[in-house]
Amino acid sequence: MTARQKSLPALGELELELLELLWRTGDVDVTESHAVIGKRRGISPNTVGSALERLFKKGLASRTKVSHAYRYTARIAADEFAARRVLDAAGGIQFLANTGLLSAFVDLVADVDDAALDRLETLIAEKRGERGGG
Amino acid sequence: MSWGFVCLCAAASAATVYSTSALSSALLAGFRHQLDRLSAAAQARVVFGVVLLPLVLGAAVMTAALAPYLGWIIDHCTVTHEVHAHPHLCHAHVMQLPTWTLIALGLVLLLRLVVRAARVSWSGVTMFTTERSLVRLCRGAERDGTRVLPFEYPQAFVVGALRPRLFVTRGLLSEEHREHLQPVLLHERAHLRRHDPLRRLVASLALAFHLPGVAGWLERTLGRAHEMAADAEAARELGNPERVAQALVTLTRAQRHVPLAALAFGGSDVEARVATLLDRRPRFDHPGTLALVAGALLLVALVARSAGAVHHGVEIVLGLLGG
Repeated sequence: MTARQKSLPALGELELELLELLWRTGDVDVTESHAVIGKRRGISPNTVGSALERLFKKGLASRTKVSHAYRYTARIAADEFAARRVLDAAGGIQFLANTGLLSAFVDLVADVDDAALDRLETLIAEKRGERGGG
Repeated sequence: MSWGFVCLCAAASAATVYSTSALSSALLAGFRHQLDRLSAAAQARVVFGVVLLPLVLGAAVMTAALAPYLGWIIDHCTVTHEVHAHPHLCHAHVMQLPTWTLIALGLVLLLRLVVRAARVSWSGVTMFTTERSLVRLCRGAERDGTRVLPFEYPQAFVVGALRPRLFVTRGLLSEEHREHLQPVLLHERAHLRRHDPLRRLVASLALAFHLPGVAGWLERTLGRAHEMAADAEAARELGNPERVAQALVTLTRAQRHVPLAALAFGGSDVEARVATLLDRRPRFDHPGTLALVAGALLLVALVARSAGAVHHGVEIVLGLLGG
């Protein structure tokens, strides 16, 4: 499972421009990204590839291998990214949760794995069965 | 009044509240199996009572201890003229200097009070700015009086203390999570009805009168008790605890696969909450709020009635602590 981050990772100008390209085009590979952004900036395809890889590592892009090249897509919607930036600027979500001034239905950092959740679902189904059976 | 006398009073307060904190939390931990037989709402009331106890008892004991100084009762040392080898909380000894141990004890309490007050003040400021940002993010999107945030994963939460607001994400309103919307909203509205955020704010201040480790444990216990009480209320209104439990599990699973979630909260305990929801054993809904308030008043009355003894007792404790 990808590690969760409490705030948006810091992005360089190139990464941000590539992310905007992903939102516009849906998916791109290194060559296509270099043709649109890299050539204009006068940077090599390797630099563009490294920036795309950083977006992937920061959890903002996903990638699938097609032939010998990765194709990248955005993992976060443009409006959600903008919303996250505003919230990060406010910066108080976690602090408010810790002080009890914000109470959420479920916990995003719950220390519970899929196996435990499976067990709980089985238990709920059993109880439903008992109730249904009278 | 000299600074030494103020230090002595602070040390006496610290001794009272910290011993009450240690005793009450030990009792709470010791009787946790008995506590489990109570309804979730009753458990939340008891934990809240334990949180407030050192503050209430500390105020009562300190008022009684200072009764001779305030002229409400006659001090034992002015009547018996005996030589007491302990510090005195009276006019005759107002210029006495406390020992370093007592100064340190008093300073710990004052420092914790200042830190807590600063934390609560800062949370007020943060609450204001964050709530404003959240409202702006909704861009007027509302459904049945609930503001809708533009996030695709399912989540709902309440922000604020005096006038808390309910927010849900667009993901929770999607077709995929439609069956969980009602239990989630009932849970969050139960928080609003029960004034849980306000209780947490009051508790946050009152926890300054607890021992440092105990304060953190009680804060978590109270948070969990509030969640369970809201779960129980949602289950009762739906007449279907399994549906609330299923919503908890499904939404927790959905959160686990969100790599970059804006609303990263902590504190709830899914396994314990589901187990409590599915536990069909009958539970007692006592003690009620009135019984707890009556108990606290009785305690205060007992302390006030024995003001002379309490005053002397506090002085003896100060003598023992001061070496």
